[in-house]
Parts: sequence; structure tokens; C-alpha cells
Amino acid sequence: MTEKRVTVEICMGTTCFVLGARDFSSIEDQIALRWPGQVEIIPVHCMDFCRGGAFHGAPYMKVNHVPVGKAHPQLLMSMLEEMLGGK
Amino acid sequence: MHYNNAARISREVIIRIARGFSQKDLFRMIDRIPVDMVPKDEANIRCCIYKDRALIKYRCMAALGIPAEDETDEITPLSEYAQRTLSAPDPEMPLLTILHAACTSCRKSHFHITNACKGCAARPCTTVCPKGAVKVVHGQAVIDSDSCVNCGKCRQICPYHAIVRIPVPCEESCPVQAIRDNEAGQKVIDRQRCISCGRCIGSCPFGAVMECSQMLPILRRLHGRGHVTALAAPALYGQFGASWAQLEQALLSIGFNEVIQVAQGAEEAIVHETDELYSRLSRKESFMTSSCCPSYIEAVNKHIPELKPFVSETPSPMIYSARRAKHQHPDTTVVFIGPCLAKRTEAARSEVVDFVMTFEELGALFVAAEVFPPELEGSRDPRRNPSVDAQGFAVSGGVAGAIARAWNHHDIPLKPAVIQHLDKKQITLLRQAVRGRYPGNFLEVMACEHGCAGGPCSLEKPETAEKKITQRLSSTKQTLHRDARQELSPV
Repeated sequence: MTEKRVTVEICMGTTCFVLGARDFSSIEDQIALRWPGQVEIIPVHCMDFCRGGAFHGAPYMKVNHVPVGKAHPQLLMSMLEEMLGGK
Repeated sequence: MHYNNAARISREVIIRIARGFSQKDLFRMIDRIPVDMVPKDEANIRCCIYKDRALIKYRCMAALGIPAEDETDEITPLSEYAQRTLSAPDPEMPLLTILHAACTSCRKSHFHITNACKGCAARPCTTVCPKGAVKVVHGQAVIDSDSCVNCGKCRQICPYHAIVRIPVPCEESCPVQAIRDNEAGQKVIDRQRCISCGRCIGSCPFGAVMECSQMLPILRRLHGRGHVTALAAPALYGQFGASWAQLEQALLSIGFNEVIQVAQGAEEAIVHETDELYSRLSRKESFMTSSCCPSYIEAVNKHIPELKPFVSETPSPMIYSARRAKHQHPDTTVVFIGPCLAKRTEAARSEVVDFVMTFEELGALFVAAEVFPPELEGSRDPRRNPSVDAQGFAVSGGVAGAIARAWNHHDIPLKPAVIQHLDKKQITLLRQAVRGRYPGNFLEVMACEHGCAGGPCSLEKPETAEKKITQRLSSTKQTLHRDARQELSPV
């Protein structure tokens, strides 16, 4: 059986950066230890979700291409736990 | 540094206020901010959404420049506070405020025996305690807080590591013991002791310490008809992932009329500080310290006055740049933009810097205006780039390095050293230096770890910001040319 894989795109545009996207780097090692090789974290340029006054949903990320607003490290960890199981 | 939801909330508050102001809708929308940010169906962070909203109201007050402690009547709407700040010609704003509703009034740092205690037969904790404060009750050791003197001997001796020290994060982070309890058991900042380093802001897990922002009077100038100059600290380069040309364009887009890199002032500071150092050492003075870090200067004035004669009298790069700005446009409003809170105290003493804006506030302003520096062309004619040495003032070792490279006096060898992350231990070292225990002759002191790149109001992680700045500088060949001394006469 092949292992499940998850792709996480973290928006590093100005809005998301100002509202906390940089904090994701603090859990990268933890993720790699818990789910080795299963999670790919990709910092990306502005995904345009914040335009037109939608800044309050930032930071934004996409988990397996599904947009998620008000993202933060704990939220990502709990989503990964749900998708990949705790170890 | 880990994720802190309080920092995100505070930044969103500033974004909303800036948007409201630029859309000429501040007085209507500001009273809605707590409800808009914590709508009915939102999961609460604290006990309930009503407390979350109350705290957002206090964060709005701080963003308006009004300390939460000034609230006498909970009914007063935010729109009235905004009106108060905007109607004052130059409102006096204290630097820091403690949101008592957010503060949990942590009990004084103490030792606690956890349930890992096995109530062993040896019971060394009971015998090692010099005050007899540890007793065994129902098979578990307990500490009598009235007689405990916090010596920590019980923790050291426990074979099960069952005893922990529970600190008070804000007090722990303060290098000068400026945070204490008032009669009501609430934390207060002793302004006579505070050196404005800002470490307490980041240390509180409840986000209870906040800066009283100067955003509103700055916004009023940016949207007014007068000329406004941005003095951009060299540490700005490490923040937004943008080039200087893009950053300058971004600053002009949000309403500044002119951007001056503070590193230009640093070029003058290098020349004058080097000359001052040589002149002092020629007079057989033992050593001199740098003077550009305002938090260090506060520490000297309030806690190490005996060090004053050894501090350089050369003005900081901010002051040189501000003089240049005022010389070019005498009526301009000068806004220093940096990662530092203590610059507010230096600006208040000067006659040339009108306001200070932090990187966090600048970021919020960019978001409010939807100006994204890395996406700009940055195609305007770039000004003369300040020298590498001058831009290096942003990181620890930058001042000492710049003086070492400008030093051309063979009769007196330069022996520099660097102090960063000013804490209780470093303050003791500085006191010892005055007593002749420092073997060098130049001492660079920066209150923050990594220098200004690690300032308390930065957006980027200190180590990442420092890396970005040093990488850029090491890839540039340009240094402070000797001939530059001719053109760097004071304004």
C-alpha cells in the first residue's frame, strides 16, 4: 500500500507574511519527523486570496490544493493528523 | 520564536484602522472592529467571545496611541478615543501599555512540586531547605510559599526532577527589573527603570504588553497636504523580501513624499565616531562605546550612569539622516521606520524626528493599502546606495566592523569588541568595564540579539533577517571609500 502524501502550499505574499505566515517554518522539522517524506511544504508567491479587503482570512494556505484561511501552525498540525494519522 | 496569535490580532487591528482612515470611514467602522473580528459564530480564544471582543477593544486603544490603563469608563466608544487622538496637535503617547484584562497577573516566580514527586523515603528536599519550607503532606512534598525564599535548592536536589520553577515571562525577559506588581497585584511598568527594549512585548504568552502606536498621527500626515519624509532603517532590507528600489516605491505609494535610507546617516556617523574615538584614545582615555542603540543609552542613563563618560557623543545615524531631511525640507514631517521601540525615546529628545513607525506597523499599512513590495517594479531611479559598512549597522558587529575598516591610525591599534542582547549579565560586564576590566578600546553595544535585525517590532525572524542583510552585503564589493570622508560633512 502506498503511503498517503499531502502537499501544503503556504502563501508568502505580503499580507500573509505580515499576519504570521513566517511562523510555519517553526514546525517544518516536526512535520518531517512525524510524517517523513509524506508532507511537502511549498512556500509560494501571493495566491491573491487577500485582495479586495479579504486580508482578515490571512495567512492562507492550500492543503492538497484546497484553500484554507486563518492558517496557523497548530491548525496545519491537526489537519495533518487527521489526514495522515498520529504516530 | 513561535506562533503568537496575539501578534496577529494586533496587526489586524492596525490594518483595519488604517483602512478605515484611508476610506474616510474610521469613526463609523472602528466601533465595529471587535465584533467584526470576533463574530458570533467564531470559536473563542478566552472564556467567551465577549472577553475576546473586550480585549480587541483595548488593542484598538493601544493602536490609537491610548494606553488601556487610561480607560475610566468602559462605555466610551473607540470612535471617541480616535477623535481624541486626532484632535490633539501632537498627542503625548506613552511607549508601552499593559492590558490588565489580558494579563493573568502571574504569581511571582516560584518553585512548585509537581505530581512527579514520589514522597520518597530520603526526602532530601525537606532537609536541604534553609527555611524549612518543604513539608510532606499525604505522601507528597509541598512548599509553604510564605516561608520559601526561592533559593531553588530543593529543585537541585530532587532525584526525580519533580520540582519546577514557574517564571513570570515578562519579568524574566526584562533586563532591568522594570516590571513589578502594584497594590492590586497587577503588573505595571516602572518608567523610571524601563529601557524601552520591548522584550516584554514578545515574551507575554497572553499578548498583554503592547506598544501605544503613533500610527494615527502618522496616517493623518500621510493623507494630508504636508511633506512627509520616511527615514528607512537599514534593517528594513531584511523584512519584506524586496529590493531597496521596491521598498522605496512602496513607501512612496502609501503617501510618503521622500525616502531617505538611514544608512546615509550611518556613513556620517562612521566618519565622526572614528574621529571621536581616535581623539579620545589620543587623550589616553581607556575606551569608548558606541551610541547608536537608544535602548543601550537608556540603560546607561538609568542603570549604569558611571559609564556615561565612555559613551560616544556622535549622534546616531537616525539623527544625521533626519537633519539632512529637515535641511532639504524644513517643514517636512520626519518619520523614522525601524524595528525598534526605544527609537521613540531618542526621537522625543531630538528636535528633528517627529514620529517613529515600527516594521509591524509598516507591514500593516502596506496590507491596508494593498501595496505589496515584492510585486512592484522598483523602476524609479535608485538613489546612491549607501556603503556596505553603513548598511551593516543593521546587524550586530556592523558598527565595530565599519570603524575597524575606517581606522587608519597606526599609532594606536584598534581593539574592538561587541555586546549584543543586553541582559543582567552584560550590564554587570559594562559596570566592570568602567572599573578598568575591559582590555579593548572600542565597544559596540546593541540591546537586541542579532542587532537591529532582531528588533522587537520586526516581522521576519531575527536570524533570517540578519542572514538576508549579511548575504546581500557580502555579495556587494562596495565599501566606504576613503574619499567619501570629503563629502560627508555634517548638514
